[in-house]
Amino acid sequence: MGTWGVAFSICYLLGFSLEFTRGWLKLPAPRWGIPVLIAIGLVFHTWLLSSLFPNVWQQRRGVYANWGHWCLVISWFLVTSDLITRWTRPQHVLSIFLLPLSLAFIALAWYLPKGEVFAANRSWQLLGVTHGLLLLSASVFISLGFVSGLMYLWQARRLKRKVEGSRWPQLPSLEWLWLWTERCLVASVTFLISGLGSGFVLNLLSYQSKNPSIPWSDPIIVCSLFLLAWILAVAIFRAAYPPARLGNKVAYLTIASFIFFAVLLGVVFFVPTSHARSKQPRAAVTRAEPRAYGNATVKREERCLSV
Amino acid sequence: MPLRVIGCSHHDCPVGLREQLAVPRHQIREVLDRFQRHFPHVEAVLLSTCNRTELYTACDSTMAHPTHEETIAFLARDRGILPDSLDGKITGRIGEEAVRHLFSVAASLDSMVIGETQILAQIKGAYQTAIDAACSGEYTHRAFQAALRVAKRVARETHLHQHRVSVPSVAIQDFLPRVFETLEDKEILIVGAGEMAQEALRYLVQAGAKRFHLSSRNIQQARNLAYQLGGNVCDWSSLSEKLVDADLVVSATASPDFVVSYSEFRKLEPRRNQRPLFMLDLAVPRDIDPQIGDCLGVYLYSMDDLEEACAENKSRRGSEMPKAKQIVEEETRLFIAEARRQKIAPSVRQLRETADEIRLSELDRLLRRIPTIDPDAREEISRMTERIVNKILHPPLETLRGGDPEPTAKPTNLLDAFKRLFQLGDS
Repeated sequence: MGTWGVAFSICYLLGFSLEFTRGWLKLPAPRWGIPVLIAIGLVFHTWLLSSLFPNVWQQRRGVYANWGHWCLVISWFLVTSDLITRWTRPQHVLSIFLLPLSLAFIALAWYLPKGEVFAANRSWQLLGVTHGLLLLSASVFISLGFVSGLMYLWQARRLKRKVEGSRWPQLPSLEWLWLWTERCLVASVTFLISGLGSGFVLNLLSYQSKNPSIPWSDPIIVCSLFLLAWILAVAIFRAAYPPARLGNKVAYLTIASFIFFAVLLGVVFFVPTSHARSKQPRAAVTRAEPRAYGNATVKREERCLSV
Repeated sequence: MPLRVIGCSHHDCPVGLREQLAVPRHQIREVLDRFQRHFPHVEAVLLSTCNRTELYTACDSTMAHPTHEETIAFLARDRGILPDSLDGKITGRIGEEAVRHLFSVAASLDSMVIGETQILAQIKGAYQTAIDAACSGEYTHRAFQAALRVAKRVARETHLHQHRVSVPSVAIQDFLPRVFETLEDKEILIVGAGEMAQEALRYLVQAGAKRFHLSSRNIQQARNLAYQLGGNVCDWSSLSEKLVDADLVVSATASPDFVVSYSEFRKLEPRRNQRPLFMLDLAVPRDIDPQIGDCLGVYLYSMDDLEEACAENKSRRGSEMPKAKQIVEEETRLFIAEARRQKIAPSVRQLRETADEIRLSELDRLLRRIPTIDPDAREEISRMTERIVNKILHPPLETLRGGDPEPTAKPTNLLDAFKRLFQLGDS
């Protein structure tokens, strides 16, 4: 990610720190200071993401066909949502919840191997791209839903306990938070089902072509089946039990969905699996971008490719 | 400034006496008419609210201006009270003090709830009634228009009005937006039809509430309220049914027992499907069982919970008081200086004209005696005489305008002395 990555990470971190401590320190900073800082960070972030496009096109790879890039895209959406809500609802502060998650994704992007890890031949196929984009959209909505759910529970708790005081950030109304949590849940369920469905079709086609890339017993497929089961359970639960469509229950469902999503990411990153892995030999990868890797990164990538 | 005010307020007068002195809005004009008959050529504005009754008077002539005692006696007679019973209860203010008081009242610095905006509308109403009754004049026009201007300046330059302090306003305008995005599509249930319920309903209507039901043991009172502000009246017996559909409940009855009990709520709770419910209990003793607040999705706020926010807002308003008082002081000083300038302007003009006449006639006589003088010298001499007159007149005129270093000298006396010294007539 280089200099741009450091620049926007610092901007977001500063923005978050200033916002978090604003109620206590009462720094004489102008109201527009924090949004401007975050916006500058977002410009750097956008610049970095857009700079990845030409490489992707030339090398005939799927767009952002790299787990690190995925994390950066999710993070970009979270920060953009923060800025949009700042613009439309200037009296409320969502950064305290959105920026930490965004920073966590950036940290994950730093940690993950930088080379191409998706199978180039599959990520370039239409179905492969669709599968990737649907799951990327689902990841964005799961993350946004998680943040809305957390904010809902936080706001509900404050109202229940009658917490007053100007130190705490003002959050949007429960109704607004519920509406967003609900929309994010519906969107994430839709994208997840479509994304996982396209993944199964993709794998089925690879089996028919007698060139199976991922065995059906692969941990990622097993986990995906669990996730699909969870999503279907959520859909049935919501249809059968009306309170699950209201208030706290929606928030709990989005948080649970995020936990499932985090588990799935953990499996993808840390458990031996052949899903979303390049079949290129290690040497080829390291040759492609030799200067971009430090020793530690190479070691991580070696571990990743060897499994 | 020939403005005087007599009156009483919540600061120094018990509520019983305030009630006796209060003049209903529809009677104010009649009182002003009677005042005009007693004291012709005296301008008068009568301000009567639940917290104060004040009669502002102004007159050009000191002799024709009724004294405080005369005005108090008139008001007491008019209200059917013995003047002796008002001894020490009525405060009188004259001139600058009266102006300062009017500005403070208009800016809501003298109100029971500091910063409340209702007083400004009441002052506007009182002033308009005086205009309609042909009781206002040059002085009251200037004073009241300035008062309205000062009130706006205080509102603009301080945060005095920003923090709400009445319990229903805090509940509806500060707490409700934390739960609901809009009230337009919410089912609202108002229990009770007393003053508190009325105030709450008014704020709800302002906030955009459209679908509300009124329920009261006194069905006629509920109907009257529904007639004034809209909404449906429902039977007391159907209260539980309405609770099932409600998103917001405001309860303000005088009932000694709970109007909504925990056991009753638990029975209907399953039918609500855990839909969020915001409950405002504005009654003392409480109408809603506090245990209901523990139910899932219920946010119950009682008077105690809201009082804390009100107190916090009051203290915030209090911190704005010095700034507001400074504005009032500054505006009073400017107003008095302007009034003084307007008062002395004719005398100053007269003196200048007299002095100029003398100067020109003496200059003419001198120039006739020296016919050979060249035009430049003539001009120089003319300018010199002008300078002499200006320098002689400058100190007394400055003193009259208010630049007198001796504060004890009353401007009115000075003007009288000035007129007599220079033999200036009234203009």
